Amino acid sequence: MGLTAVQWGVVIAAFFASAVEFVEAFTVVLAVGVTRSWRSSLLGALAATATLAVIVAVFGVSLLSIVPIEVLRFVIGALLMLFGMKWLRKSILRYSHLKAMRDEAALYQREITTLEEEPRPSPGAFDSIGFAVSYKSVLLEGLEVAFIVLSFGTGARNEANWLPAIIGAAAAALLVILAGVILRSPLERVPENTLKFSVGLMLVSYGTFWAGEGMGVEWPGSPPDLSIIGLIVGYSLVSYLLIRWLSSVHQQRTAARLQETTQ
Amino acid sequence: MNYLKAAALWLYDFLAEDNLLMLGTIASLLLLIALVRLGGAEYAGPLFFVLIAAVLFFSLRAEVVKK
Repeated sequence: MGLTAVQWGVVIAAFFASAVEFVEAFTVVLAVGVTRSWRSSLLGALAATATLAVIVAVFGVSLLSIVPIEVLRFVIGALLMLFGMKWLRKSILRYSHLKAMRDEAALYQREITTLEEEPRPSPGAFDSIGFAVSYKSVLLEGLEVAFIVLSFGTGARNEANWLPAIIGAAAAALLVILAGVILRSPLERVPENTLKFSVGLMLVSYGTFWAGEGMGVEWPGSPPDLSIIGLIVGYSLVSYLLIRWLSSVHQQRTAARLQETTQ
Repeated sequence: MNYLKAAALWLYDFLAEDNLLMLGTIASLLLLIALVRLGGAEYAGPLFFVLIAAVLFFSLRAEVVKK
């Protein structure tokens, strides 16, 4: 099976976007397994995965068969842009030190403390609290993955993008689960901000292109899909300039605060 | 129905964390639709990029001012 450059982009974007969400869900599943029971934790995660598969299958198929492709591209593109810009904005603020980096180890400890405070089930009984926490976490994080897979699967020029989007998400799930099983600890060394930044860039670029296609924009270049590369380069440059500007603002503020404390 | 309402509220909260980002993007989309309808489809692509970059800039600027 030969994939085009755009489809490879979809695989990569779906992979990284899903990896970020899976790492977050994994932290909670691990915390539930360690403090409550592995049975309830894994059953909760499995039940959530099944729910997500149904959501993707039902919504994906019905969206494609009911909504005209131009409208779908516009809506999906606009939503991808909003998701992507939210991630891009957050990671730019983190790179500039204006927002604290996400700490998986601290989140893990917080989750463990909360779970230990809950009453434990009698021996042999099913731990419904552990199941519910694991289910909720995997479902919420997984909904974002499902949205990304749905968007990439339905928003492209042809319908062959379903497979690349699913391959990307499935590969991320496998990798995170494997890493988790091997390490048996929260995945702290995952460069979460770099992943969010890269995925944010790709979501905004693909979103801009598809929303534009839906509106009837005539993109420069032949084939027009090549404009996606131009958009990725353009948004990267803008983000780089924004990080430089915000870092200098942060430095100036830190220096001013230091001066105030020494006076 | 309650589940649908809860899902819609969750999506709204998620997307509206930064209202400027959401409103700016929607305003840009509306502007672009108008431009394409008026016959400027060939200029719409580059303009769209510039508008979105500006929305990102102003959203971050608002965050800096807030802090």
